[in-house]
Amino acid sequence: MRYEGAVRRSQSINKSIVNQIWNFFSSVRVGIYIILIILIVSIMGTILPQEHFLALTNPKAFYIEKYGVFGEIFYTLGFTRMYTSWWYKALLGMLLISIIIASLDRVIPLYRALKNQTVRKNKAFLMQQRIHTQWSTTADEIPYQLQKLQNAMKKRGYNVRQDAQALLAEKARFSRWGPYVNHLGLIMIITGALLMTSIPGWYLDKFMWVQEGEIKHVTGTPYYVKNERFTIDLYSEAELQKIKSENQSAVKRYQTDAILYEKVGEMPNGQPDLKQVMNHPMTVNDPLRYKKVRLYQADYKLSEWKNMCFSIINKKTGEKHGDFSVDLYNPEPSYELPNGLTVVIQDYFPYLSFNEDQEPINISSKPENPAFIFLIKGPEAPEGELSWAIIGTPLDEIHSENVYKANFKDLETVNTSGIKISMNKGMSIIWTGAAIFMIGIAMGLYWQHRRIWLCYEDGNVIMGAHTNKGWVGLRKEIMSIMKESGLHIPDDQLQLGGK
Amino acid sequence: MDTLQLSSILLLSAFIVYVLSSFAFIISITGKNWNKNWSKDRKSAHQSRWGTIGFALTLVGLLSQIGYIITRWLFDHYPISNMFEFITFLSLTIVISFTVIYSMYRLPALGAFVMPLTVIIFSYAYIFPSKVQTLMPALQSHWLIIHVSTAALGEGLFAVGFVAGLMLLLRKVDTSVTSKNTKWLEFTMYILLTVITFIVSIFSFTAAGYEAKFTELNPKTDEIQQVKYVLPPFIGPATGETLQVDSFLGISKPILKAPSWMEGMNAARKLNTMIWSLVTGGILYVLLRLILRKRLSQVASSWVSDLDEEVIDEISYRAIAIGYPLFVLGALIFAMIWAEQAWGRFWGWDPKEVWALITFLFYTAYLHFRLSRGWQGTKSAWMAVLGYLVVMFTLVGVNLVLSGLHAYSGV
Repeated sequence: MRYEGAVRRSQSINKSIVNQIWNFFSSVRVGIYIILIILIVSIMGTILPQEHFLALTNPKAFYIEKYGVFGEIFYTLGFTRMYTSWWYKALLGMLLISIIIASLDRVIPLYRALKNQTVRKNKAFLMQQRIHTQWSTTADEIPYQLQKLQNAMKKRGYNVRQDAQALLAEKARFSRWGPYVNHLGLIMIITGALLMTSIPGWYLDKFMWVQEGEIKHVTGTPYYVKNERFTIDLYSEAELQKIKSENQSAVKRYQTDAILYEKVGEMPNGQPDLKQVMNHPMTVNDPLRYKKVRLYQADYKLSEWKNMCFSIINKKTGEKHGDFSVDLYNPEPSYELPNGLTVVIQDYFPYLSFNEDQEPINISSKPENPAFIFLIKGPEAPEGELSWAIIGTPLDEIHSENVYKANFKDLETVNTSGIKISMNKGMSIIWTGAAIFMIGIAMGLYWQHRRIWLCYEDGNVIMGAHTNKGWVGLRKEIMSIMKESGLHIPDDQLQLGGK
Repeated sequence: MDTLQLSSILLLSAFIVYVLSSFAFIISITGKNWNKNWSKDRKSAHQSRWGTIGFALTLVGLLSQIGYIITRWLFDHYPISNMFEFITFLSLTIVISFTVIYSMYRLPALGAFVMPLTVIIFSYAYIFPSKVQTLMPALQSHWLIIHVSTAALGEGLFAVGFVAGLMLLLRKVDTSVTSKNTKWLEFTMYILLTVITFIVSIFSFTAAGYEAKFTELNPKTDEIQQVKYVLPPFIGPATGETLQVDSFLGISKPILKAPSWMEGMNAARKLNTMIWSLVTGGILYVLLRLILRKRLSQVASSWVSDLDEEVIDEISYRAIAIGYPLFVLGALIFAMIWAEQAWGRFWGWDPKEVWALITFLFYTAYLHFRLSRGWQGTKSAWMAVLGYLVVMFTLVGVNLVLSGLHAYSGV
């Protein structure tokens, strides 16, 4: 009934390789198996956490240590990066081929068949239908009966055609196109998803830390981001009291006031010439959007050391010679102070540590344990005096000869925003596909293609009816059509047919 | 009385009314056999009267629960953001789905199965803390409401599809003889019983003030933390010590320790809860078998013996067919739109996302089996039953067993 006897390519007898492949993928059974394989494989992928959520340096060791032999097998089979693996993509590719071929194989024959329907069907065909019935009438009576039935059918939205003493009433034929429409949507979604990561320049997914006040280049784009300010708002006392919550540290908002610049050229000094194109207070759920680029508030670091402030003191007189502030990320070579004092930075350790021989070494570029060796020159020490400055370590003893002392005064901190930058030029294909997919499944599932055939033969009217789903509903509808036309058919005579 | 109190009262009333409507539907289908002398008309009058009462009660409960949603929304936010709020919402969507399907088919027997399921799921919600909580930044979006409501509505319809599928199996399978089908039906009954004993146990032991405390190493922070059990500990944590175990039937310390690879925080407690439920469910099952001297499915099948197979089959399919597009829209498309907006990617293979995809694939297979391969009756009904298991795992199991971005609290 489905393809009305029209010949599908997959049913032709030609046995060339192309045809065999075509036949294989055109089978709905094969399609369902592919779906089930993807389903089972996907379930297996969720048994242990996927690698990309864990940020591991040595994933294999991690899985073995944490999950033992099972973890090792899981890792070795590649299940820890399943969804980006070639074979998972190959499964999706096979699903795609199955959808395309199975749809093409059916949609054209179906279109032809539905377009060229004959109104009059033979008696045997009608009696084979799952819903069928017959009643006797006279040749005089029949035109009136058909007219009444037609009216009742039209009232219910049927499109009715008459050919002599036969009727074909049809409704919601478009729902038959639902599967093909939704398959088209799926084809777009899967193609879009497979394409987006394969076409250069289509897809960008980066994460970067940007300090307050800093401007950073987004690699791979002409854009630069500035973090003006990062703030965390907590829920207020009143808001917490209202819901009787005691969670004082409940966060209400993470916000980065960001500015996006586009590089429009180069300045004479080699620096990029930036033009501000957008500014936006980014919060979670409210990214900065500019053209195809999106910037997301993704993470943060609070109160990281940024500037260290020192003041120079004359140890003998106790006289203060002024302050200077050192940017821990980008220290100046030297600092000029009043009264002819100069502080030269002889050495800088952002992260001071000591090696086996107790020599000072630096172990990281992150200023988390900063230390300086200053050379302080002044009127009383024209050659300069070397002076160590390590946070929290009194060093007066080793500097007992010195006149000047660099006193630690203050530490300025800065917040850092974790900004995620993404661009995906395949998105419009995916969203369009999703919309088409939705329309398709709604067409196919929320409407039913119903057909009722009637023909008069030798004193009997034979009626057969077919629907692609919802038999109970069709039966009810036919009952009410009959009733309205003044034809009483006992309930049990309207056969619903065997299974 | 403030809005919040009003809202809690409305919710509790809805729960009570759903219990009453369950009884009304059960009376409707079982009561007609109380008096053997009743004529056919008398029986059908009884059935339709109690069916109408049941449905009216359902509508009253539905209104009350909608009232709860509105008042709680007015008070602070649309109640859908933690386990308590979500599970109650899920029961609401089952009732809405039932209301839609019932008005199409008017089958009181459907109510006699759907409404008790609603009550079970509803009471499960009360296990979780019902307090209003602050919304974390990631949840502050209209998409929370749109995504969760639409997906839950689809899932509500899948629940009705499941119930009708189960009814069809009870109707079609000859439950008086031993067969593969009867065995699986009994297994389904047993699983439903474990859910019931699980919920009842938690409430009883909480009400009795039962407590067992252990220390456990939190693998994430490497700190020793305290774990509180609500249920008697068959299984203690893999690491750590026993602090206090209230005596229950002589159990004063854990019988076994959790296997060492189960080192996630609370993993042992979850395992204990599961084993407790399976054991007590088993005890209840055996007791019922002894009392009834029949298979449980045999008893349940007597409730559906006079139903038209074709109609139940269609109800199950219809519910799933209506639910499927809603599920796709809510759990996949709206989810993708929101994920793109909040996390900067429309799809990230988070366990919850994968399981939504698995649910989608499962029901896609169901529809293809049904529409293209002509699966109807028993096979398709089993798929409807199994499908709901997948749905429930996606909704609850993923949060409790797997980790990920959709974390809520868990028992």
